[in-house]
Amino acid sequence: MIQLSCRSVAKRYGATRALDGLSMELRSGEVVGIAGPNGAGKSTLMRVLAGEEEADSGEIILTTASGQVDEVWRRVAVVHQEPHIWPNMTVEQNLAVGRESHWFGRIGIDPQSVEAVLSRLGILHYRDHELCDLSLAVQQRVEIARAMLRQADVYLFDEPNSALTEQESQALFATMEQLAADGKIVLLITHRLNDFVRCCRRVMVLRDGRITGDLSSEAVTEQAIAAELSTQAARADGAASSRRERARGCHGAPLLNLDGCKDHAGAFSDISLKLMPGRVVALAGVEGSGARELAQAIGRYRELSRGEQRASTDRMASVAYLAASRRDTVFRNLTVGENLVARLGRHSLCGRSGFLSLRQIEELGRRSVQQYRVKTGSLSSPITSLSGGNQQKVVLGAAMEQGCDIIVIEEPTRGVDISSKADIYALLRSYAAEGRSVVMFCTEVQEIFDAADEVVVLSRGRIVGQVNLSEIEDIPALADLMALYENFQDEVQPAGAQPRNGLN
Amino acid sequence: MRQSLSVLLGKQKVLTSLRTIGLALAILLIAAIVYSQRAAFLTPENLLTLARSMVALGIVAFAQMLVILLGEIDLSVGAIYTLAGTVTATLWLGGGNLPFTTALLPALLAGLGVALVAGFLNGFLTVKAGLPSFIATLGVLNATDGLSLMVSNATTFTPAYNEPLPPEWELAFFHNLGGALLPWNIPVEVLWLVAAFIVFWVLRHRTVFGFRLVAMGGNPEAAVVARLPLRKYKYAVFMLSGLMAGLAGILDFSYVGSIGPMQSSSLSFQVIAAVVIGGASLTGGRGTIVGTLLGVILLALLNNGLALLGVSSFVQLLFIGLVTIGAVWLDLISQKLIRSAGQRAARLGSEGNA
Repeated sequence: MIQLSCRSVAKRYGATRALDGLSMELRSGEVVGIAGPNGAGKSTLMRVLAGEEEADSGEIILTTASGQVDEVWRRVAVVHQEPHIWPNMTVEQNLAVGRESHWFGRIGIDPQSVEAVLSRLGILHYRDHELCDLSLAVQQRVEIARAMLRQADVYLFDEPNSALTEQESQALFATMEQLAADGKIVLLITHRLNDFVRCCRRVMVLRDGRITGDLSSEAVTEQAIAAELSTQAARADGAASSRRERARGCHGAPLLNLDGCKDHAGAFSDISLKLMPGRVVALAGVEGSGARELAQAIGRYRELSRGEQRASTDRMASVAYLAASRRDTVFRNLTVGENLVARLGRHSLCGRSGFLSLRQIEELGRRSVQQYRVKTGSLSSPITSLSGGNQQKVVLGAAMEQGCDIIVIEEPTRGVDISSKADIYALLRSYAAEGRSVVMFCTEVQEIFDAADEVVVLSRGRIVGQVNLSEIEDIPALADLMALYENFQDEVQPAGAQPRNGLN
Repeated sequence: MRQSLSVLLGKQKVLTSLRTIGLALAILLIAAIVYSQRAAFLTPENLLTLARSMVALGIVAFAQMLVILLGEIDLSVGAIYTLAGTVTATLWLGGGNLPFTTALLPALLAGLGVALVAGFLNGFLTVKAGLPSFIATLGVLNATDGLSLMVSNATTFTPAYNEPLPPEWELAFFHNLGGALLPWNIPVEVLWLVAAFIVFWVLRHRTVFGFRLVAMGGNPEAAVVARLPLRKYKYAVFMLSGLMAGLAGILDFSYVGSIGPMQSSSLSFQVIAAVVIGGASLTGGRGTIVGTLLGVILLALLNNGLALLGVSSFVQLLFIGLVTIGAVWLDLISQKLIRSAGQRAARLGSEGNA
């Protein structure tokens, strides 16, 4: 039995109290969730536990079977959202970094323990592969493997599945439960309430640097956590149900017509798809199914080797593309206002003279902040001062200002809090309502249900099913249907018997 | 069959050796072309000249590769190369701007010492002051060049004809450092290159030091989280790079038999070109000693081959520039192919295991 107790831990950054006398008791054997709105102190708590920062006051005590542990951080392992691993090294080398068994000779660690850990995590066959060739899910497993080899007692999972597909998330949760069953303390921090329900028996709610709620066993439900979280945060449900009423028909010619398209690196092939104006289309599929790559190809971020992208109208439809990670979409060195206009060209930014017109830019920024519901102090605040959700709105606004016929967005709400999610879905839908098309690559069923009109399911590089969401009652029904499509190809079946449902 | 081939292609070792083989083939091709035009290319004399011309470039490039492995760069090596030789010469032979002279051994130590100090300065400016290493070492390059001229007063030193003549044994010892000829007319300097190759290969591929350099260069942030001694290692590689530049300078001084004022940034850029041609990534985390050696051979071969073919030295320079660009471009393309092969293998592997 391992016990971790925090007693009135405090940490300030200037005037803000990130942790304000936080106390909690954790015991091994269960996965404990930590919920909290943005800025509640979750990441500070994590950094303090992991020893990346020192608390101003208070104590953190870890008691194991052999007594109290001196340097707690040595026994704490963090599994990050973006794994902290070495992309240029093989899986085995990654495990060895910092734990080399000898100073000279062939560098590595005890092969037996490596083998044991890797096969437990199911990634033994990747042993000699370079990390940058592997999927995020595998990279994360490598980080977990590093922690296991270190014999950590406390595992902190920080938004671990925000970029994982449904299937990968399930596998991850299973691993987390295994760790807990092995007598480790496992903490999960995430924005997805559903994940708490799925894998935690106890959820603590963190607000303003303190634990304000502690739910356990039966009490862990999405509603209960949301109630604890929100004083004023709007629930996302309202927006979703209002969409159901407006079951939009697709009218007019398709904006884009894919006909037998094939990826240059073989991620997908034989894709035929029509993008109709006025609709939000979700592409879904596990990592490696080709769904993400298809989204990138539609966004012209990836080359097609064969097939055609045809526009039915005279001109080629214009496309704006937003990558999954904000690292690739936000200009960190620019202000909020500058980010909002960063994608625009001379016509919008310059006056008659042909030089930049600051007044015009400011006006544009001011209007955009309102239109895209960005909560910011001023246009001239640095973009990095905004929460993840608001950054995402800025990025989305900047793309929408371009006025392209199609917007392609990967994981529209990765690392975004509840209230911003609802805003983002509303923005996407209203953009589509203007006769344009929105394509998103999604990993969450909830998100597809909330935001999309239609979902296209991919598996092994091919479209295996299409679902019109106006025919779907609730989330479990959608999840079941999608799982059915994804698994369908695993069974032996005659060619041409692919299920097709819905449109086209 | 396709399955097993692509599983094989996923392995890092296979992928990197494919690239090394490519570079080696390019070298053989160039050698074959030169040989077909000028049979003198394969004579022992020419091959020895070729090997000798690789010494300074190679010794400095091995250490530079470690710096680049960490994602930093050291532009100052060319100037340190000159400074070490100049300081040694001035202290030993007199005639420069220094008020005193010493015996040979202290002078040699002082030469290596200033090289080490210059390397330390590079480390200090990069680690402690936080300057980008490109700027820090560019500054040290110029400052060191200036210092060399100040110390030597732009004198040309020739030990064998110096006034007063150094003791016999000192002259012999100094000549034996790099200039003396072994059986079959092999210059001693070539042995230094072989030794440096072995030492650096072990350092890069068979010590924790080299292993961690790769990790730190690949993802410095993760290295900090894993509490690897990043700052110490940065100091270490800069000092090693400075020391090797100094050593190369002294060895060349010994081989040539004299040293005069020179502007030496060209060595810096040749060294960096060799490392990059050898497949190291300027963003850090990738690079091997064998690759670097091949890069050095390629550059030396081009110089030698073009000279044999009677191409004018102006055209040689132009040609070497183009080859450097071409080699790195080719490397980028092959890197891309390799990554997509690796990713495909990973995907097949996951399906095969599902």
